[in-house]
Amino acid sequence: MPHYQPPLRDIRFVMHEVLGTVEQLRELPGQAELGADLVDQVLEEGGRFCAEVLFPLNRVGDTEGCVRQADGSVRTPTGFKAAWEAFKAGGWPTLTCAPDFGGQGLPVSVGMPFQEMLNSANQAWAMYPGLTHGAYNCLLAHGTPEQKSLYLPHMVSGEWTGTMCLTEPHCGTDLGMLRSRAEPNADGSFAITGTKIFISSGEHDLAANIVHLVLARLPDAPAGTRGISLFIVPKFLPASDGSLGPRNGIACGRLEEKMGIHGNATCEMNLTGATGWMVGEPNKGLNAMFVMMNAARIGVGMQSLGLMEVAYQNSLAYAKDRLQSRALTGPKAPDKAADPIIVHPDVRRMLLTQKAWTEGARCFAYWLALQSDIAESHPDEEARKAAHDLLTLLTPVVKAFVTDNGFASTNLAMQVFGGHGYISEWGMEQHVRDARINMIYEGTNAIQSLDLLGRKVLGDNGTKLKAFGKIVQDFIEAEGTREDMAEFVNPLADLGEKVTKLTMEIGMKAFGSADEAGAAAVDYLRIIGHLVHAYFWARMAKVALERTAADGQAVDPFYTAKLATARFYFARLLPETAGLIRSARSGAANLMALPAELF
Amino acid sequence: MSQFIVRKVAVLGAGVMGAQIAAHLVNARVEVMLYDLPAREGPKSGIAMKAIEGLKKLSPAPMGHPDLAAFIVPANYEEHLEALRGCDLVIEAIAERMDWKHDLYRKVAPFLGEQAIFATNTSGLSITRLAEGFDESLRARFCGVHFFNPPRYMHLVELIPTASTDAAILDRLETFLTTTLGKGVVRAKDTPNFIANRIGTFGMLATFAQAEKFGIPYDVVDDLTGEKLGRAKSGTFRTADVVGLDTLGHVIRTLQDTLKGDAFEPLYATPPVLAALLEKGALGQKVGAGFYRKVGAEIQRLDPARGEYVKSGGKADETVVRILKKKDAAERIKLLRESTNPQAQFLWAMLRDSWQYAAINLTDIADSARDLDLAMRWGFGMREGPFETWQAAGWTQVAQWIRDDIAAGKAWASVPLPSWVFEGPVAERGGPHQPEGSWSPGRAAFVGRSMLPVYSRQLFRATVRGETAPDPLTAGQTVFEDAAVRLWTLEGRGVDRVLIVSNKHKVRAIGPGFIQGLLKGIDLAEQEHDGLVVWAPGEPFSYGADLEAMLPTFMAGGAKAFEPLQKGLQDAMLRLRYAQVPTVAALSGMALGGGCELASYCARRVASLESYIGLVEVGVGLIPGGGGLAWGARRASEEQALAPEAPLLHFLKKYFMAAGTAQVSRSAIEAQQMGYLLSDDRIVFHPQEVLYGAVREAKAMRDAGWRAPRRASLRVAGRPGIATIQAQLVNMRDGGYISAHDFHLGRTIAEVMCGGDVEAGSVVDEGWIMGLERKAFMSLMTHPKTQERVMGMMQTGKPVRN
Repeated sequence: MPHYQPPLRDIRFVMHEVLGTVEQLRELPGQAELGADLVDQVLEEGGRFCAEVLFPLNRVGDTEGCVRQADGSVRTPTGFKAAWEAFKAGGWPTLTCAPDFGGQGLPVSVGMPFQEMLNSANQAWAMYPGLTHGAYNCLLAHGTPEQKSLYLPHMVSGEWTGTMCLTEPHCGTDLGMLRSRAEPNADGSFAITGTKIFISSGEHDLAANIVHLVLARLPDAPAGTRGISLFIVPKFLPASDGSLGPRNGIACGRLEEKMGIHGNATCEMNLTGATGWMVGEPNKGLNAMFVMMNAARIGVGMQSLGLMEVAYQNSLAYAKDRLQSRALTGPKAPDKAADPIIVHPDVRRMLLTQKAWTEGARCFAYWLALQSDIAESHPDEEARKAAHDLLTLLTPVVKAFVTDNGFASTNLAMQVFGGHGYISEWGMEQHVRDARINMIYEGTNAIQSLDLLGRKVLGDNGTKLKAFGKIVQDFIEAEGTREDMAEFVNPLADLGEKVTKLTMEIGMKAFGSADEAGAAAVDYLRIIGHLVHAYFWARMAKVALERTAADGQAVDPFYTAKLATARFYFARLLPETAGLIRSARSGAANLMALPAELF
Repeated sequence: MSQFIVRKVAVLGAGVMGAQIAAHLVNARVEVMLYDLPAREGPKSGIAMKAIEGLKKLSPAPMGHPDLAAFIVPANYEEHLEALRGCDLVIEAIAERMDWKHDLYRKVAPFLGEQAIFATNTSGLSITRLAEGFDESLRARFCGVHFFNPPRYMHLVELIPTASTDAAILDRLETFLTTTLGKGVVRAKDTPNFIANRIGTFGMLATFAQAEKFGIPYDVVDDLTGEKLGRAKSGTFRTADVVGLDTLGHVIRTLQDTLKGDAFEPLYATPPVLAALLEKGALGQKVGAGFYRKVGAEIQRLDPARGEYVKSGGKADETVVRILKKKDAAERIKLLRESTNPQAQFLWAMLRDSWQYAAINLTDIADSARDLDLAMRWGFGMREGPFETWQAAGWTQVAQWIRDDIAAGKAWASVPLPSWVFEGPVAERGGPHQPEGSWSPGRAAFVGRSMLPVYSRQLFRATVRGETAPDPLTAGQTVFEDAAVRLWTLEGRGVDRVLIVSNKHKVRAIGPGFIQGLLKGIDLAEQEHDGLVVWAPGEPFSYGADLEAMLPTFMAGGAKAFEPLQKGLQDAMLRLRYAQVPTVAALSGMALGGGCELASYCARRVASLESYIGLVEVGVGLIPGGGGLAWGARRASEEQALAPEAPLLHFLKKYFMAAGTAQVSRSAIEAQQMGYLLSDDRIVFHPQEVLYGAVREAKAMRDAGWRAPRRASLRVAGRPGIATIQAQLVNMRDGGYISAHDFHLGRTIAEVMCGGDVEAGSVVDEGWIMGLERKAFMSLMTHPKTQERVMGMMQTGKPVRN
């Protein structure tokens, strides 16, 4: 049977031993008293909730799916509502929310590992609180004081949930084409009409109310993305005391049938003169929504991190358990009928690949969470800006690189199981199906690549990239004189130099034709992903080396494993960049030369 | 005392050094006679003639221009001894044999002028012994003057007096060597191999020994001991090959022969590998084999263990490279010493042995630690002298490490460090270089610099670390300063009336910030000063336009957005040319592309001999876009106006070819021939005197009633000119001499310089040509072949020929 063990040891390693998360968080206002013990306790409890309450529902959610009733209401899979109640009762929705609205005020850095574990346990379920939290962030940043006091306490407590309604049948990536209309009412509210599709958690039976954040156009709005406004459209119109009033004109028209995340309701939402209130300024809705989208993109990365972890755990257990054939070098378990398949080099390749992607992504994501906390509340403005720039630069990378790797990893996990991975019983094929959406929604991975290369790198002449490069360079200079670090630092330094040159080259070519950036973008993002992973793997290797230093003490095997995984990453995964660089440099011609009609 | 003027110099001995010393003298427009033995056949001065002929082919070029060879007068000891009487200075540079030298001295002594200075360029023989047999008068005028090979480029000249040498003679010679020949003079004591070769040769021997001990191949040693260690690019063994292994063998033998009983004597033995190479006649580069040899395109290195040549190209380990990159010397040396990497251990061992040797011998060979350090910097291409690095790394700590290593038997020699290292002022003050001077063990004091009047021309003298000296980045009165420029004046009556513009960019790239600062400087100078000088400390003058700084504009708005930036650059050039006060470029080192334009648009140039000037834009697939082509077109038009019977194209061709083929002058003298320097521009030999010359030049121009040039129109060659040039370009392209993109660039340059689509002889102004420059530049910026070249340059630092 599938199992899930929260990876608390590795989480502690990353937070406490590699990143020094808690020490850095203590510099932030209100966090001076934060202790590693508290963080560990929260995550241990959170992990238990995920493993014991949510994980058993993962299969159920997948097989039952959500059902739309005749009245337009949606029934979530068996146990989902009870789990939601338990989630609320445990105070989990409040974890990282502002104390002003009933939150516990813990930093994102503490919320991020919890998010990872939620996703390991049950991605489809985790999307209900996930979108709620996104809507909460958006309102917190852009809502009026009245809007905040009316909506946020309910969303923080988990009584109400949230969604984001962007996509329409004819427009997904290109939101400039958006058609939903918002007509002003006399009382300052708006009447919103239109159709939204692919709305995750759009309708369900978990909570009393659903707060939709909807993009629509004012009657006099300019065309394109500069004419989009953002509105709160609650399922039930709340009175000023928060009590629920009449049903609003927003309803689920149908549920999408889909490849994975069956437990989450993917709704078509019809708005028929639904009452809404504007969030932020007219025509600046997209900017306001970006707050939510950026957080959501990191969240998608976390979904894949979660899936990679659980899939790895199961494939590892299977590889140790499953007896087939003998090792190529002779029997390793002579007392048994055959050797466990973990003796085989290629099974190890599949396991180590998953392990390296997972642990690398964890370190990267938790570091990014820390940047998010610093960007939010560090007392020094320079520090806030620096962190914000890093967050801006690397959000598309955590989204696209981790989800690409997540799909590859869950696929490898399934492969380890052979035929038993392909059938439903072991749950491995579900991870593959669930992981697949992460490469698509919240902006496809190609869109992330264009965002990275076009906007974040070339758009500011590489300033943000150079800032990250400086961090890498400082590490290289500090650790690169040690012989035992050479196997990690040398390839990292080499890649850093190549990235600089490649960026200049693409920048130059892009002068001639913007297609050149478009043609290189996906390869480019993957190369940057490796630069980031190589950096964090080198940092992890450094810590592991120090812990395994021969001082006569018994070595915690955790570090031995970490070091071996680092070596595997540098020797087997990083070299992919050589091919990627060649591909990225090959230019647009090989893509654009063929006329569309000759395809 | 009347002025000492060197009208004429005789160089005795037309070997490698003698001929090249003569060449450098003609660079400096000193009359030179080059003597050698009378030839047995042919013209009697045949040996000298052949040597002069050979100078033209030598690389690096000993002369600023090959034509200068004609000014070296060949001579021989049979026919021309009489002519020695007219020479103010006679430099002997024959083979290093005491007996031969004595023979020659006997022969020439009767013909030396009564005031003439007689000097020997020996690299290691005792000057005192060489002077034996001279009468008292000649002995007082005799000293050693030790040039380093190649004499034009190596900054160091060691000046070695004997006990009898007249102090005034030495001062005169030092002055001449410094300002006329541009050399860095260090006075040395009359001990074997003097300072630089004594320390440097031991350094080589220690490198041999330690490389063997730690098993480091020669190519890796060279990579480690070259630029990465702050030394000459060719490292140790490659340098030996270039210098000649016979020469190396000779200086080693001098140590063996003359330092009997020295504490280090056992270590002076010729390394067996070197002895074997000498035996085989593998004397280095000049015979095609030494520690390295070239087979086809492949450079091979000697593998001493196998006694054969193997593929070379070995590089330093990256961990060691990173250690060497540490700016903090204390951290760097500590890491080298503690590293487990054999290359790092080798470096520490080699440095330790060299420092030990320098400390032990300082008293005997030099007056002060500064003289030793400067000699090593100027003579061996080190960025820092041994004592400078040692002091920066923590004097006492390093001294203890050396002492520990000696005690532990790790050091190559077991000779203890002298007591001044551990006790007394040097130890107390943390090193031999102090604000008031450098340690002189002989005088037991920190001693100051030579205050010879000639050094007042060097406004910022070469300093050693730890010494107090004005910093050119902050000296004088700052009038304005921002991130890109400093506008300032020198202190002192008169010179404080000249405003100096210093570009703060590392390679003095010309970006929007500099242009703004330059314009501000011109405005200010017109209001309050007598003139404007463009200068920055050291080199280069400028590598040209700062494309990187302009990139964001390009990214945001494409080629169109770039145009105003370019126009701003051109306008600044015109502003410089037509400023109401004289503008002077103080040049030293590279002045490329926009840097060449910047210099060209100044009213005048004061250039160091080693000025490398050119419009190199075609190397990156562009054309000069900051007025460089307009300048060439104007110069051609002006030249033709003086010779109206000749066609305009005749004059234009020189400027077209220079820009079209990215020619860079290899000296200020060549820059004059190319037209980048004009006849009234000044050439200064000592790089540290350029600012002095430029500021005084600006002041003098103003004092003499200088007025800005007229904004005259110019005549252009028009369509027929373009057609003529294009016809030649077609031949070159079809003949395979230039690529299709070279052709395109050549044609583009022709179009701009000929004034575009107009009649021959049309009259236009500079603004018209500059408009054409902009138009052409924009279209090239997005040209894929141009982008390939830019990329190639950025990625490999070498031009792509596509």
